[in-house]
Amino acid sequence: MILSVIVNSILNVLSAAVALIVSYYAYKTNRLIGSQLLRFISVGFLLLGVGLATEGFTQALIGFTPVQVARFTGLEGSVFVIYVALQLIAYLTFATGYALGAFGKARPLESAAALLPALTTPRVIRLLVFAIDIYVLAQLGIVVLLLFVVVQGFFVYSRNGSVFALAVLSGFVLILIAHVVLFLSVIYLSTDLYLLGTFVQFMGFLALLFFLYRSSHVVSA
Amino acid sequence: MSQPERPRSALRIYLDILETVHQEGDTRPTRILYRANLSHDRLVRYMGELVAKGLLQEKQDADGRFYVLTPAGMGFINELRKAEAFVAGFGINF
Repeated sequence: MILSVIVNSILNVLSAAVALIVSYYAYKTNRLIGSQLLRFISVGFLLLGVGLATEGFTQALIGFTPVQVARFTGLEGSVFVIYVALQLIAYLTFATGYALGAFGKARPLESAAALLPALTTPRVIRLLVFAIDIYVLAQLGIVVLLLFVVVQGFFVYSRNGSVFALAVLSGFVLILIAHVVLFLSVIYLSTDLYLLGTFVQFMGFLALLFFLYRSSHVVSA
Repeated sequence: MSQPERPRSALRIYLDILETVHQEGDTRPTRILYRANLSHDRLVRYMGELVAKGLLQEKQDADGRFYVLTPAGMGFINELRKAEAFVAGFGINF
């Protein structure tokens, strides 16, 4: 059990480090070219990095994963609310940034409103009614937002066919799969599923690290 | 549906000019005008800016003016190439 907490903490802290590096690169590139989407990406990854680091260090300090806390106390995710809220805001930031790109020069609120149809489908509403726990609800929200980000990432890749867009898409697809697994882990209170989700999420951040490495090694011939 | 072509940004024009000079070596203004696809007025403006920023150096010989890339200019090309690759990952062009 201790081993799973240690592995979870390490994977979360490493993922946080990658998220913060991506945030820094987006910030640096934005200073050079000035792009609204890059600002959203920079802020989104910063929040994600802080959220993941919070989760990693909290687990290491208390010695339990959120699922273990939920299993033992019945207070699902109560100590991890800050982490999951930061992640939710981070993915909302990405989704809004992509929505701004996809819906032209719409204002941020209008762009965020464009996400509402996806969040208010009858199936999602039915799930929301049953998902009374804030942690479960937040994980569900993250999955819906990530789905939107992945669809936008797919459109970007199909438009420019760039290996860099493919790496970003792969990263977000893996993070989406990870959050589906994490969502199931809090539904079934399974520590194994939680560990698997954290691992898949780490693989997603490795794909983003590969993207960073490739894009920072492009030089003029 | 094909997207309408966006006008080139100043950064894109800088990159086109600097890469022309990088690839051609000592480069005459007419060659840059042709390769970077610029009007004369815009060429004069952008070349002045690049020289002022220390990215290009203006020299003179018997045949007239020519431009050479400075080390700072080479560094700027590499920075822009990296930025271009980074933003391509998120579907942004400059």
